[in-house]
Amino acid sequence: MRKNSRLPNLHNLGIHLRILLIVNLLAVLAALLLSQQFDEFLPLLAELSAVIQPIILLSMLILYVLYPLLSKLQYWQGLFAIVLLEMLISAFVVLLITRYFSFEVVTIPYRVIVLAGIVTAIVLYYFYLQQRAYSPAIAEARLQALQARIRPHFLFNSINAVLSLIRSHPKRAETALEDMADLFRVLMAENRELVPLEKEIALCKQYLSIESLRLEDRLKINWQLDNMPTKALIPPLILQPLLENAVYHGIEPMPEGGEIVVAIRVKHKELHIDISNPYVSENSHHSGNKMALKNIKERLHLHFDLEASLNSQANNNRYSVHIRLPYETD
Amino acid sequence: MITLLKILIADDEAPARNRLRDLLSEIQNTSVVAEAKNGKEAIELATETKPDLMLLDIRMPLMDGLEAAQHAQKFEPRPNIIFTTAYDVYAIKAFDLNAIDYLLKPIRLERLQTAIDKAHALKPKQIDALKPLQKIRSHLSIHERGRVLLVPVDDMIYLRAELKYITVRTIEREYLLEE
Repeated sequence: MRKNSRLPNLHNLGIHLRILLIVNLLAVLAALLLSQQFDEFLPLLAELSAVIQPIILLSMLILYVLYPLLSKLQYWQGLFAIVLLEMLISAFVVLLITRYFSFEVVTIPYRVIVLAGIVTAIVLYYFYLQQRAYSPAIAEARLQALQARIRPHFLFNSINAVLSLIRSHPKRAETALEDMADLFRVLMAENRELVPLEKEIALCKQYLSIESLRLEDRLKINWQLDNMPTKALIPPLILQPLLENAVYHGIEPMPEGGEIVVAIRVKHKELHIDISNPYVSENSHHSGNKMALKNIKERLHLHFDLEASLNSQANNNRYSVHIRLPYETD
Repeated sequence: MITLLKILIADDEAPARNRLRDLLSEIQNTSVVAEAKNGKEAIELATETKPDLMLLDIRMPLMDGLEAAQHAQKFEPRPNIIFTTAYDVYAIKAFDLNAIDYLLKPIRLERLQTAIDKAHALKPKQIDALKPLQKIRSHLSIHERGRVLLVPVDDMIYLRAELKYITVRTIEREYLLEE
């Protein structure tokens, strides 16, 4: 019910508590404005309260009951329905009260009805803003979900490769399964903390050794890590998905395979990572590629804001990705 | 007399070919006559070995399995085709729609056995259904004196229409295309 509706969850106690608070705060504000002197303030507030509280209590009850119905409407229809409902409820309460009591502040019923509409709109706007404020958390959860997604193509092909080794090379099959276990442990972990670069490199090497089982000498890697700061901290799983892309788009479509070049260095307190692979333009690029890049970009942004960047380009039959991020250690 | 089923395996990954060969060695009356590393090689080897059944991986360099299957329709007699694939959402969806037989990697012995038992040639209609899955064709297949020649599209200089035939011109020579 909650999922398809952007309306505040009217079955939630916290939401009702907030409604109570906001409306009463507005009542205090109204009393402050209406009172000429301080000793008028409390009696005025009491009078206002006597009208407002029944309206709120009745509203909360009715909204609670009607919520399943309201949440089936479109967002704007729901908002409109709630505002209308509130105006009706306040009209009903005001008419009922003025029949038995006479209040100074509520001499004109239509004024109360319009005010009820405005206050409802304010409360609804507050919930709308609150929802927007919470959405970065949702974005982060989405990022987490994306990050854990390994290409199924890789999983099934690797299992197939290991199966073919079991009879002929049981030792190699053993190592391959151990590598896969390590890789999946990292992929499935909650990866929020920065990790030392050497750890990510070790993971990449395990990943590539699994890939070379099936691609054999078609897969060649040129590591240029002589000036690599092993202790530099980077977000986890920044390199591995890029290598996976390089294998999928750069090595697999080539009958003779090719070379992936990985170069990492520090320059002016910044870490520079370059990955390049062979590339043929006629090969249809799957959307998966862009998704991985976008995902890494977003994560870099989350960790380093504008201090990190990711650029990719294709020329001279090679596709290359450049990452720049601040050089941090413990 | 028991007839031996001649099988051609095409997959760009050696372990995948090995696995298929291992499994086939356990299935009676089958014999692997050729192993190809891509679709182009599969067609060339099939011209020589005339297999009864082709096991084609879909994602292969140079020429994918879908295109190879299309060219293989010109062989006489037409070989049966079974696709093998690790994971390809679009292809699997299309296969389900058109009910063409395919094997998902890792392949099980029993599954391979049933596929071979019921192996039947793809109907032309099914081959047509594969067309939208394909990238642009990399080769044209030309039927010549009982053989099928593959001419890379990149090598063509021009095509000339002549009544019901089309002449394909490359640097070396001319071919007659009957498509």
